[in-house]
Amino acid sequence: METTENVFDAWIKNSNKMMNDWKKMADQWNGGQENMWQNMGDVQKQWMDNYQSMMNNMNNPFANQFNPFTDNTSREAFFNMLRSTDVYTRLFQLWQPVFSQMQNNANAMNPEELWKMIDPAHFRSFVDKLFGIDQHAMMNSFMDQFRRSGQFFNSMWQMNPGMSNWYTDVFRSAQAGFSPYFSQTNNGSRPTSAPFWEEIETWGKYVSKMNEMQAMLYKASMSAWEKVLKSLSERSAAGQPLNNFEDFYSEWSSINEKEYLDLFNTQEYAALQAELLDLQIKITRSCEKQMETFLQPFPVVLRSQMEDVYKMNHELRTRINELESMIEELKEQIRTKAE
Amino acid sequence: MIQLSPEAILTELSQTTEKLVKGYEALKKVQALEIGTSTKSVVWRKDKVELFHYTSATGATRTSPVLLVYAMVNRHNMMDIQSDKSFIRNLVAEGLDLYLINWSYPGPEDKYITMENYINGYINDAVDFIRRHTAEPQVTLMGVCQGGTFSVIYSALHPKKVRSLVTLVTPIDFHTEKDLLSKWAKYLNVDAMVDHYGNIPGKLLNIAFENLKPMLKTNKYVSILNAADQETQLTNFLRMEYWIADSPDQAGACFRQFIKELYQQNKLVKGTFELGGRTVNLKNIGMPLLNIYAEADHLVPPDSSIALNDLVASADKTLTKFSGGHIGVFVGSKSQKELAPGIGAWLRERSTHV
Repeated sequence: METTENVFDAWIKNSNKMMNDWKKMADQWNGGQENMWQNMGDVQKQWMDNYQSMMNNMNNPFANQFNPFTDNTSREAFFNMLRSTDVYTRLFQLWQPVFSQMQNNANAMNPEELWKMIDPAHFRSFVDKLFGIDQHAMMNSFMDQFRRSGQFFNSMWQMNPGMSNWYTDVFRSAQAGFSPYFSQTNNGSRPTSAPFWEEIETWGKYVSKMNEMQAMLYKASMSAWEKVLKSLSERSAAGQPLNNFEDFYSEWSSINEKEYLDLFNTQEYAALQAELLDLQIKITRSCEKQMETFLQPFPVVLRSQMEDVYKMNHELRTRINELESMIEELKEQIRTKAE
Repeated sequence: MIQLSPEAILTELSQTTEKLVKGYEALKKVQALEIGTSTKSVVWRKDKVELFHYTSATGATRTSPVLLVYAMVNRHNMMDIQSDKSFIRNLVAEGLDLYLINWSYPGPEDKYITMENYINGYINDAVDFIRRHTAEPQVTLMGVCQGGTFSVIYSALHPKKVRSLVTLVTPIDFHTEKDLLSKWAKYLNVDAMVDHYGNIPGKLLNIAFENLKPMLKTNKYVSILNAADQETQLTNFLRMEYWIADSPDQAGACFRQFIKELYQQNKLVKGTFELGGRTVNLKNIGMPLLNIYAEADHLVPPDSSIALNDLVASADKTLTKFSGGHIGVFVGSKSQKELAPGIGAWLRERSTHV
């Protein structure tokens, strides 16, 4: 029986093949340095492609239903191993030109030289990855939800015209819920589209503040990387160079952590972090309000309707607790009197 | 300087890939993780809160009853993470008659549970149950982290029920210089958070805790790859990861008061914190106090815990420094030989049960 290869098996097969191919390539190296460097460029690209493909699969729930792990902890651990290795390898790639230059003259390196050798876009992408920042993904995911919901109900209506009454209700409800986001107003009047514009304004503020946060993180990272460079030069001058990338990573990590913590301890960072959380909450609340408008005709209990239930539940439990305490006290009084 | 050559790059990438593949193969073999396996029974239950009673093989105890109160954040089974690193197992081995409150997992219906419900409600009811169950008039309270703060507040409000008080890595002064969480909390719009979320998601708090050491998560996963083929080390690592991810949501009303009145306004040390209509006066704490803090605690800085000893009226009070971090105090190798035995000895000196 033919079985479909799952994404994990495919990744293992590909990784093992890559390592075998690299070994054969190394054994056959007899070309000039230039060919070898070009080959290494290809090797690194293969590694990144293999990694990226696995990360995309891990993030795709439909491509990823096979789970070779006993539980979620192991699955999450593998995901974190991939992510951490990505950081480790990208760091390696970014610093290669620096190591190469420092081999010739460690003392000639200064921060200006450093930043000429490090690709700014890759540097920013690296810092974003370290802190899990991906603004485009968030925005796209948010808008996709509403777009797909609208398309779904439109196509359902077309497929089942006999259920037109039901679909009419659903479609009208979807329009009321989602139309502010697509500027499809009933009569083109401003009040109907007001929620849409308020949401866009909040999104704009959020994006602007997130850019501020990224700028803070980039600045701290740059300061850290310059300190790493200084440390490398001092070590080299003292005759205590780092001999492998693992040791470099430890040094780099320690210096970066200190730099980030210095930033996190500032009032500016704390205030901005809180402001971003506040804006996220505003955006989510607004979306949930629209979602409730959409769900009105359905036989489902809405979150806002559950509020009264939860409050009543708590009040009743409090009252029960008070009564139980009173009963215990009375029992104790009776017991004491009987004695 | 790091010698760079095509061969070096190839070696680096090959080794990294090999480690990842080994890591994957090793993770596939990991069986179900078991934590919190010390023998216990549920002796009392109220709503979702349970009271565990831990028993030793012999059943013998050498102290009056001890109620262990863990924080709401994360789960108590860090103290029983594995059989050879179990603070709970070690306490029972010291002869403690040990009880523990299991806070369980708040659901959306629990968003209105307040600090008063937790302290004057669940903790008080658990204490009363233990007093009836053991026929002892008083109970020793042992609080960990936020559970320690709750235990301190309880002891100040109900001193007659508390024989002695043990606090571990407990925040009392929330405005100390090295308290990064406090600096962040200062700007939080707590009302907006609680009004929106109801219960504050455990995942949100975890993000904050991770950022207290921003490189730690990446580093530990880079590091564990070097030991991916060592089954015991990998399994121990995964147990901790399981515990870290197992973060209950925080009941909204309790979170609101805890952050606003303690983290933001620091009312406890100022003597203006009120619970159930009564001011919490730390000078009401006159029972023996053992206050343990961790030297390298980045979550609850030492100064935050140390402050307690100057605020209580106890004549018999001990301040003990322990090496390690907030969690290391419980799971570190040194801790297994020193923490529980030290607490056991301190309690036995003050117990009528010998």
